[in-house]
Amino acid sequence: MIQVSGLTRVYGSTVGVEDLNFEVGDAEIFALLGPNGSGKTTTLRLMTGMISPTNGYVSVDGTRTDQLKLLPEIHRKIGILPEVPGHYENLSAYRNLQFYGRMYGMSDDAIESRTKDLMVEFELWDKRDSPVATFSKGMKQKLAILRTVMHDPKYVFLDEPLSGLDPESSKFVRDYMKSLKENGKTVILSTHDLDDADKLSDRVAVIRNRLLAIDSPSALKAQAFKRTVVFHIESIRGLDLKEIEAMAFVNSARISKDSLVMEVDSPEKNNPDITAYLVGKGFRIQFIGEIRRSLEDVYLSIVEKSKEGKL
Amino acid sequence: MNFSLVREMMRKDFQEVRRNGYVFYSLLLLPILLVAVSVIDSLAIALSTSGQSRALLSTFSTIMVFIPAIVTSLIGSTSVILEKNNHSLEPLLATPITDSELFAGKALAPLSVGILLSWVAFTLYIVVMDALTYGHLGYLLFPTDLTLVQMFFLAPVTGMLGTFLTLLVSSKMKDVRAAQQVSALVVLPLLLLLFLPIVASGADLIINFVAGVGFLVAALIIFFVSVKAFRRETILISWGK
Ligand SMILES: Nc1ncnc2c1ncn2[C@@H]1O[C@H](COP(=O)(O)OP(=O)(O)OP(=O)(O)O)[C@@H](O)[C@H]1O
Ligand SMILES: [Mg+2]
Repeated sequence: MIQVSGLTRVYGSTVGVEDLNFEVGDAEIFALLGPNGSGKTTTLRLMTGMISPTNGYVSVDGTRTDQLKLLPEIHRKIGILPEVPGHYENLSAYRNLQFYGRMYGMSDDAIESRTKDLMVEFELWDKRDSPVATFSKGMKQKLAILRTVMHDPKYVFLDEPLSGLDPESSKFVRDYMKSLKENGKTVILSTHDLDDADKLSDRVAVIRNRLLAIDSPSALKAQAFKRTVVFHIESIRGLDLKEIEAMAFVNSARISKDSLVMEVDSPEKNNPDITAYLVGKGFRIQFIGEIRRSLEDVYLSIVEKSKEGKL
Repeated sequence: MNFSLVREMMRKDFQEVRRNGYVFYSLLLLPILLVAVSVIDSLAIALSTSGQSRALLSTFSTIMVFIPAIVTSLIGSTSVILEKNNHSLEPLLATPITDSELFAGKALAPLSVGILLSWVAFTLYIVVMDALTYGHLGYLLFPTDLTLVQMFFLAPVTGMLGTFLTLLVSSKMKDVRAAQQVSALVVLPLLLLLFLPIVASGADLIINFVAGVGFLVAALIIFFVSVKAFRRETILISWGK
């Protein structure tokens, strides 16, 4: 388990992150979500002991990452994918992986079999002897992810792992992350892609130099918004919005083209009453729907509120 | 300190430097060139004059004390700047390596090659000079006490000085050529300054030794500064700027 407590990092006069508190459990996919400069990389570097906190601490399975003596011990059980892949471009893909295997104290036999398995799985085996400089951006990213899991770490930290990947590779990497989780590994990733966070993660922490929200994607969506219903009406002219807004269960109402859009407490209970009212006024309802909020809406609203100082 | 990690890092650095043709061939040419220059300069004196002025000969071998400084600045700057350009230090720092192992790996690769090449050059010089002069003199002119002090004390120490200075300079630079040039600009005048007393004294053994101690002190001071520049935190936070 990873515990983050009061975690703060200041760079000169710039706040990287401030007072983060959360825990990441075992076999969880945990996403740090935030706009550029929100402190995702800073948080990952702090969590992995790569930089030291100004305040607060991180502990990995009970060991604090700011105990420099114990850092090698911690690093043996975590893998880190930095923002930039960072290969030795002149050396072959295989040599790069071999070097890392040795850095983790793996035997050459173990390196050989592990590298082969992974390179075949990642479809890089044919390219093992080519210098990494000849690889495409996506191939470099895949090789870097492979390097990150070479030593079979329990915790896998990935800084924007899907950036620069085409849809096919991106799906491959997402599936790979899920398979890590199925094998009991914990994946902690940063992203500003809401879709990825939504599809992939068990929990999302939305940060903007502070922790704005943390929960499962579905719970975040439920918290951030009241449910919104839409009534499409054949001709909406003559509708009195004031009367609609006066209904007790309607939180807000507006007209958009030929539709009436309302935030209501409970569509199941309220839709029949609204229907009865509209029919009574002679409106012809064509269909009724509910707007499903994406994590993107949630995220934008959370970040917007934090900018306005409401969070 | 885990030396198998350090050794693997050195091996990787050599492979990378080997693939950089310009640096690799400079490294091969350097000892040959300096030996040739020294032999040509000293041969006439060795063959013609009295025993007393033969002592002056050792000032010519002094030039080979420069080899470790030049070699280390070439290799050291290349390996650090390559890591920088590749952004490969961050994943490396994610491994169980300690800050001191990283520094040791980065320092020992250039230092070992630098010292080794200087020994190759000294040996070559000694063998060639003896071969050329033995018939005429009837005894082995080299090695003298002075060549031994230069070989086993001065050369390693200037190698250390060159290494630590280069690592420090490279940690602040972005471009390989610039780092090599700045290292050379910083290292060489410093060495020349320290060499002046040696040459002026007509290759006095004591003065050589004292100069060596001077280098050693300078090397140690720079060692502590450059170790700081190679801390995980410093590399991640400040090197990119
Ligand atoms: N080395 C550094 N020196 C000074 N300030 C820094 C440094 N690294 C990050 N910061 C600052 O800390 C804040 C958080 O940066 P960080 O890189 O962690 O954000 P991020 O969420 O990873 O951004 P991005 O999406 O662009 O990768 C920013 O204001 C940034 O300017
Ligand atoms: Mg980042």
